[in-house]
Amino acid sequence: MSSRAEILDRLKSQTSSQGQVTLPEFDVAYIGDPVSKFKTILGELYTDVIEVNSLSEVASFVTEKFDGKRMISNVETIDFPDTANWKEQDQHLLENVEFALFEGTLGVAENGAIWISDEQMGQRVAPFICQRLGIILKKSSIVPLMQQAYKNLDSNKSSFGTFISGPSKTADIEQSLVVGAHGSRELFVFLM
Amino acid sequence: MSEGKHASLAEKLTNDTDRTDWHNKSIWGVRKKRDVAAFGIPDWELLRQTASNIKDYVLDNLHDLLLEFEKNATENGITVHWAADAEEHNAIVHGILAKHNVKKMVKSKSMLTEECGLNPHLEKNGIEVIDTDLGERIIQLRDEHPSHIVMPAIHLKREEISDTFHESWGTEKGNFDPQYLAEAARQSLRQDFLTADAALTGVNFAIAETGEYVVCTNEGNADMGAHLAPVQISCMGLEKLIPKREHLSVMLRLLARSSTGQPITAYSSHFKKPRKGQEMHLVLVDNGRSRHIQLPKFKAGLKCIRCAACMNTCPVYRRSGGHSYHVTVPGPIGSILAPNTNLKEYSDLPFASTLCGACSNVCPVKINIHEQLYEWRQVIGKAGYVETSKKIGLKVMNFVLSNPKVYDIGGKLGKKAMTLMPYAINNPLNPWYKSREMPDMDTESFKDWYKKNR
Ligand code: SF4
Repeated sequence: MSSRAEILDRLKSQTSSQGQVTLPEFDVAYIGDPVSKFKTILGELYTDVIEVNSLSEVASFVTEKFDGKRMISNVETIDFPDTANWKEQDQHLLENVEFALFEGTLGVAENGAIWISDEQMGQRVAPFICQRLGIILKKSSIVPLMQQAYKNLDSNKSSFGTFISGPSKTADIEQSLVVGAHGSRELFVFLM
Repeated sequence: MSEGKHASLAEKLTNDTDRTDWHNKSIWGVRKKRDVAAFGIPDWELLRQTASNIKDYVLDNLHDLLLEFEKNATENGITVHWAADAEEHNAIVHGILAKHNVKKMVKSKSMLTEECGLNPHLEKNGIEVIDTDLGERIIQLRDEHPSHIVMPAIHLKREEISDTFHESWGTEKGNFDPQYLAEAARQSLRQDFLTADAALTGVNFAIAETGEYVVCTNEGNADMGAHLAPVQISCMGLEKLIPKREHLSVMLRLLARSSTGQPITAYSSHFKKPRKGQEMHLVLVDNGRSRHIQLPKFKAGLKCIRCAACMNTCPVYRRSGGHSYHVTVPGPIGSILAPNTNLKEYSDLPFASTLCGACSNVCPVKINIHEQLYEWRQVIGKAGYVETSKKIGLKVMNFVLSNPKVYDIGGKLGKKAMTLMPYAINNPLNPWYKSREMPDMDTESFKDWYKKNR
């Protein structure tokens, strides 16, 4: 008998019917205003939250800051000088990207997490391999809790997706927090 | 052989009082962060109860959920493998790597592969394995095992890590600034990510409904590995399943807060389908789990989501260190999981506890850890594996507690002895008083006090 059959066989005898768990509605009142909570939490998570009125504001902020370094964007109206073919490139060649810009689907007030799907990433590794990461997010997309986030996310929409909340970090050396472990060293969130 | 194993292994740490203190304090700090995070959510208890219900449902329906997951994952383009035990798991992983002629694999944190002894197996077969979680990389370079499931190198001081990096990577000798050391690791591991032929990750949650799975990291190492390499392998214990995607909203709220006090990890990645040109494999590992689930009193241990809160809170773990448990998952949860795999070998572990119940109180999925520790003691006692020193202590205790007269006299005598010759109790032959200060004794016995005050 295959391992699969053996394992399933043993588990079958343990099956006892029990109603599927439905989730209660969790308290959202304690969050207060989702947008300001979101900003506070991300601030605590070493993230720069910048309020902007237009995409062109984002573009000029970024160009000024990272002038002369490699920048890529997967935001429709923002193009940086060399972005032409980066989505088709071998993903290893993104290694020298200093700054990468994407749009996020939604933000979660309770933990500062931003959902970004592989479509929004252009290449899956892009938001991780870049030295600095920028995400544009609509204020109207910010929900109070993870519960509302999953209600709004359609799992069929992405083959890969991730919640990002802050730059990459580690505390593996004597519990001392170091920002910039393997992923991005900085996160800029542009709130529109 | 388990005679005194935990106790004598713990001495490595407890013999060095400063180090014990340091270890204790640094882990207690994490526990306090957890408290702040938990108290910040009015629904914390409701969340725990819901998570517990979800996991109970999982254990009662694992057969069906696994089939549902397998079907959906396969439709998503993930190749699903089943491994009965560690050996089969290692052979499957090696088989995939051999097929692709992999010379170098990067790996993000996976306690399961540690449990299965994957690294030595692959290295024996000529495959270089690089652990990419910083804590794991540190202990890999030092040829040690993790002492904690979330903070694998928590037992090491920065000076030791600095020496290791100096020897391995030529970092500046004597520079033990964490920022400097972490940067050195970033540079070194980036080269590994860029040159690996395959990446392996653990799994935090797998969702039956959608056939996807979630991997949580703060460093971003699982993603760096998985999205660069042409082949991705993920390994999970059978019990990591949850029924629906919406259940993640409960689990992810609890996991990082219980673990380190963070509201969520920096990255919670949902892997569903391979990217173009990539191959994805998922190995479902039993290794004793389908037998464990058949033990009604111990089944709930499989609800564990590996947050480590029970370790961080445990007064014994904090002072004895993870290595004293001589098993992959240390601390209270390890002490109730390990005896399932080898009763004799791990018969000391359920005794490495004060049964204070702190572990059960913090557990986000409400496992009755301290009750199971007690239950295991009964099982181990019946099997005759209780070590002699503990047996005598327990017998005396039992005798005293079940004989009110003896308790009374014993108390009075004990007190007298304490005032007259405290060294008789607080001496090196009495292991309980190692690293403990004796409190000042009340002159009044509880019974006398009660008579006066009732
Ligand atoms: S037993 Fe509970 S507290 Fe301990 S690691 Fe598992 S989930 Fe966390």
